[in-house]
Amino acid sequence: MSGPLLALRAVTKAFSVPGAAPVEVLKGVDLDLESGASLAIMGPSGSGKSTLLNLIGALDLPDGGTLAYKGESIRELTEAQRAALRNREIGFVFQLHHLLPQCTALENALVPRLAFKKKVDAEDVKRAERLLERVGLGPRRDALPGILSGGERQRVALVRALVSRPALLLADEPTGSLDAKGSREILDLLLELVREEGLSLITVTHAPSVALRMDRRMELVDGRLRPG
Amino acid sequence: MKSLLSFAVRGFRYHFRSHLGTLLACAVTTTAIVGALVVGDSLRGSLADQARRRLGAATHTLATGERLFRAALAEDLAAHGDLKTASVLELSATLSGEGGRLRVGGKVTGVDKHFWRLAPRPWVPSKFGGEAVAINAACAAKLSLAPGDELILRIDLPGVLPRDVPFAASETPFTMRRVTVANILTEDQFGSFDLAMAQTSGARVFMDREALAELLGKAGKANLLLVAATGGSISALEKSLAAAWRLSDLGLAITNIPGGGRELRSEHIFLDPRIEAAALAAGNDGAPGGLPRGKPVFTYFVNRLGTATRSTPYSMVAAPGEPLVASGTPDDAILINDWLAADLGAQPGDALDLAYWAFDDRRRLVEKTNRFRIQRILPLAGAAADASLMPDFPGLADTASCNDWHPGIPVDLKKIRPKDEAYWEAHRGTPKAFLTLAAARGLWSNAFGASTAVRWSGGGSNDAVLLEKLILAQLTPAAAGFAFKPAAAQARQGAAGSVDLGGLFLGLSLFLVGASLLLTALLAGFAIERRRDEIATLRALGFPASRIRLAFLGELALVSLFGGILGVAVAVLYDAAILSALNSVWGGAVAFAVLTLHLVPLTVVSGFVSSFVCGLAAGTVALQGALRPPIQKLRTGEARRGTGRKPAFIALGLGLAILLGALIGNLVDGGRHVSPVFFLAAVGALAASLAAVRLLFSRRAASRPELGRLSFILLGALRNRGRSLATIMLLSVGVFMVVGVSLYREDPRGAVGELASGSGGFAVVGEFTLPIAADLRDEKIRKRLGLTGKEWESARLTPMRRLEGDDASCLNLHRVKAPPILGVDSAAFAERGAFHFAAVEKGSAGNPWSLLGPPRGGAIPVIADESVLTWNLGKSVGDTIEMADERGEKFHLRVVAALSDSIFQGNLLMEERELLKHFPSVGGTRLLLIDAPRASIPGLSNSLHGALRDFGPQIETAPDRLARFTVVQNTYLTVFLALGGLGLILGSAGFAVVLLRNLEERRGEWALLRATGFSGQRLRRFAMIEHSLLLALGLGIGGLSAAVAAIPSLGFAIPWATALAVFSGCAVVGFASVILAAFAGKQARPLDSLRLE
Ligand SMILES: Nc1ncnc2c1ncn2[C@@H]1O[C@H](COP(=O)(O)OP(=O)(O)O)[C@@H](O)[C@H]1O
Ligand SMILES: [Mg+2]
Repeated sequence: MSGPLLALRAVTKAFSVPGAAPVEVLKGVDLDLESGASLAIMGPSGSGKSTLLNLIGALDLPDGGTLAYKGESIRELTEAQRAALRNREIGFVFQLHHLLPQCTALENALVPRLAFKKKVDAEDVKRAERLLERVGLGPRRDALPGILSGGERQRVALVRALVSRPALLLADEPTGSLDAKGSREILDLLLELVREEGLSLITVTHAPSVALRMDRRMELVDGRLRPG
Repeated sequence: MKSLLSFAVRGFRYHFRSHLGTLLACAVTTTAIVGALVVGDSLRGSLADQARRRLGAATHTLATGERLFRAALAEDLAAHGDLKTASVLELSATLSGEGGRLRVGGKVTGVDKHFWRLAPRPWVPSKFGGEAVAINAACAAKLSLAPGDELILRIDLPGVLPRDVPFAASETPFTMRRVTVANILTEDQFGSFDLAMAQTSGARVFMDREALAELLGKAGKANLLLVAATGGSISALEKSLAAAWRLSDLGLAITNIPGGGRELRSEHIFLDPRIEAAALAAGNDGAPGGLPRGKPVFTYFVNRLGTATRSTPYSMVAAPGEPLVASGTPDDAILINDWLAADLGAQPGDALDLAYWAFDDRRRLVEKTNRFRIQRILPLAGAAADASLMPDFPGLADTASCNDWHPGIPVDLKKIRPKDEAYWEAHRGTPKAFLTLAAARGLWSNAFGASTAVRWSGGGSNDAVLLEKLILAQLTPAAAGFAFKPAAAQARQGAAGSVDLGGLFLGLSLFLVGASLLLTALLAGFAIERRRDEIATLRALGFPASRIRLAFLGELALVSLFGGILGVAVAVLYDAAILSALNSVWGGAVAFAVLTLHLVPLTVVSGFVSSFVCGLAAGTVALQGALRPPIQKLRTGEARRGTGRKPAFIALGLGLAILLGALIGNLVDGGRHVSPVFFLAAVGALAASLAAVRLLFSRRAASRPELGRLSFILLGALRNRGRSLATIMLLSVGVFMVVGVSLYREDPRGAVGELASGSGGFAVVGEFTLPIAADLRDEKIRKRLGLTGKEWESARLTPMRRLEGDDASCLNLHRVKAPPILGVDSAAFAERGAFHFAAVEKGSAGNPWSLLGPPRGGAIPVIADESVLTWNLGKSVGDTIEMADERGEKFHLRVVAALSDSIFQGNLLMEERELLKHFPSVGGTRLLLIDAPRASIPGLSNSLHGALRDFGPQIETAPDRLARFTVVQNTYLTVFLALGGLGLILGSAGFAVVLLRNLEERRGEWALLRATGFSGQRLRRFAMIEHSLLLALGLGIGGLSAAVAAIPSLGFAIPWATALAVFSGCAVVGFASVILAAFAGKQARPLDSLRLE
């Protein structure tokens, strides 16, 4: 593959709150990410980490600068194309799992497959089952989220993020709501899976212990990324 | 506790906005419960008030119609029974104001001071008597009269016989009188006096009874007795009456006859068989006096007595019995006097033809001739020269000369020769020929009697006073047509019968209550769920769960309390609106508001309390659910998957059982209780289908097929089963309420004019206040009356006689016991094959009209409108109705068929012969049906209005008449529809709240799903399909329940089209709002929601 997986140049983002002056959260972010690489983004709360991650995940568009995925500027894409891009290339893990309470672990893991087709196929199911097995939830595949522990739920969320074989996994404080032991387990799993699947990974985290396990660390300060 | 209360108060005040929805739902519950109860109270209370206003202090009435009794009977009765009584002379009349152009049918009521003492508020009018009359408000309104105005009365003269019976004099049946309005009576002053149990009261003029009686030439007479007998039984009243009455009260008199005997004769020409029997039995039962046995005598007017060559016109022929006609005389023998023998040149042994007018059982006049053999010729002397044998034929007995004759039968005065005139002058109506009694009865017996007198011969102790006593001792008042009616008690019963309307209202309201309670639970749940953090904090602060619950319960109690107070206030307004809508039914036909608001404190309080309790209970259920932490909820949900099915199975079984029970019950019961069946069937259908949905839900949730978009959407609906089910329930109840009610809405103009429609194909229907004696089918009679013109050539007339009664149409809110009965020529109706029948007695073939006729199985067949049977009489096809005939004798009617809404609404229909047999005093055309081309309707109406104005005509086209009835039904239905609309609004509100709540709850998930590549468009579509599914289930179940509930009413013409339109309306609005909510609702941007950490 030629060129980086992801390239951000002078990306800016501002939010305007009614009745107040616009707040420029990102003031010119530059970033390159090779495929297969992992990166930790750190920074104080409210510094714009999530904002940046959302831009990278094509959930939102930057105000200025360019953001290219595999050399293709996401600004050129329509909303539908961006949705397709997310579905195909990018997996998300958030601090909150947002599992559907009415769906079993397996079903939750499979939900992203329905974004572009009417029914999941056998191969999807096989992959989801394999991943659940992999994260140690094989016996819990038919459990509803309500009876799973916080760590288990987050593991389901992880499987869900991976089920569509993305090239890039974005994790926004994935262990934020877990205790130390749970965090460690999840993080181990995350890193193992990223390695196994050959993914790129960007993690937003406050925990230096987490950051230390990534290839690179950067810090978001005053709207700009700096090596940390 | 105090601190907890203040805690609750503070919570209530602070979270008032989030409680507002729950509070409003509680208010709706209270409004529905209190509203329905108050409507019921108001209906009952208004009718009870009305009964008091109609009857004043009178508890019993005795009406004798055209047969007058002594006005003094009232005082005599009062003396014998320690009662308050009043004699009244009440007659039909047409009333017209100044100029006389506008005429209305009404009543003239002759009263005295005793009457005013029975008024709701006893009083004594100051200006009353002679020309000064009082009128009721209806009369004042209809003729725009004010005190001081003049008024012309055309009063129906009571005849000796019903007006259409031959021999009833044919002179003009009215007396005219100009009077002055002195007073317009208020209700308290007896302005609403009326015997009829109905809302509408006609115009009425009150005048001095004696002045009225004298005007009619009936001084000292009355025909209505009002009795105020608190606690008195009818038998006690009859006993008092039996002690007080006299023969003259029955139109009977004892007179001396030549030769020293006495005779009992009747004003009404013929002696009623029961009177005759009583007279014959008098003194023969061992009573003192030693009376000789009486004998019946029959004298009749014959047209012609003739031999082969000569004839004598218009003579009396008598059956005087012994000694004139010796026992053993053959029945074909005739004895003639020597005047007749000379006139005819007849000899003993000659044949003598006797021609006379007879009338058949439909009162059609026919001339008949019978041949007799002359047995003997008697000298015109002694017993053979007895002019008193002639009964008091009106128009004959009272005339000096033959030229003045005007009997009720056709006579050709030209046939009267000078010698006949001379005979009349010398011998009056002395019979010229004599027959045996058996022969006379064979020729002349009729519905009114089989003799004209009973005679006692010889002198001795048979003085008139004793004879009178002995005869009266043989009669019971009821047998003599003196039947007391417990009018006040009947009015009370009739008022209680109105519960049907209130019951319907309550039934529908219960559905509304169910819906509002569901909504209460939903909204309360949402409001509490929003405060999870607060609950968590309280828990963290060490509050025990029970205390937290108590605090929230306190808040809910306040919500329910204030909701209830608001609900009561709204209920009062809402009831006022409903009552005024119902009042509009009677429009100008009533002077005072028929229905007024009756707020019974006990009802209001109990309604308030029960709705408070229900609201609190609903809130508690929600609280229980909301306080359970979400995870635990899901856990138990998981654990119980499968077990939740048992109650659903029970509900399904129970629902089906109720539904089946209702339908079978309806079959067994023959459709007598349409509204309970309707509601039960609906409850059953709703419960069964909701349980079925619940079962489907749990099956679906348990089965877990491979994930696809559709099953994903379904899973969304299953996510909160209780909420989804509640939504479906709310929607289905709302839809059921409007669609169910609309099923009963009728199109007044449907298929009018066709034979098979409610108009029977008739073009014009005329009703007359005063009966028309003449047969309007006769062209000559029409000419004489002035009913001429081209229109009349092609018009075919069907005149109908009617027994008056309590109107049993939908205009009457009372439950009616004695409806009016119309006489039907069943053969003609069967041949016409008109009208549409909703139901016909099982096992009968041919045209339903031909089922009418003589009694079968001890009951006379009758037909009535289905709606009349169901609502006013509480009967159905196959039922029997007990009635008392004119002589107080009980007999039975059986309903053999039910008409779909027809122009006969309010009446029973009976074969005319049977009607006249049981009610001989019914006479004259009261209803006139006319077949005519459409184009001649205006002409016919005009000439009827003009020529028959003295009879108080009400002429309308058949479609208009039908529309008048359907307007009433539809007014009721509009009120119900409004109630149904309220249900639908609740259902929609619940649906909308759930929809928005669902969208709000899922924002986080939606955001995540968008992150995984779902477009917002797709997610919205998912939500739309999911909620459309709920909507469709709600619509389907509601519509299905309405259709199932309507099964028992299939006999009625169900306006499926209207119902379908209402249903489609619900569907369109529902789906449109789903789409709107899903798309126009604030779009959850993924970022906002993911940020929710
Ligand atoms: N949609 C938005 N509208 C307004 N302000 C926003 C929005 N999203 C983020 N912000 C603001 O941008 C800043 C950065 O937020 P965020 O990226 O969530 O920070 P972090 O993830 O580093 O804690 C914050 O001050 C936040 O208030
Ligand atoms: Mg963040």
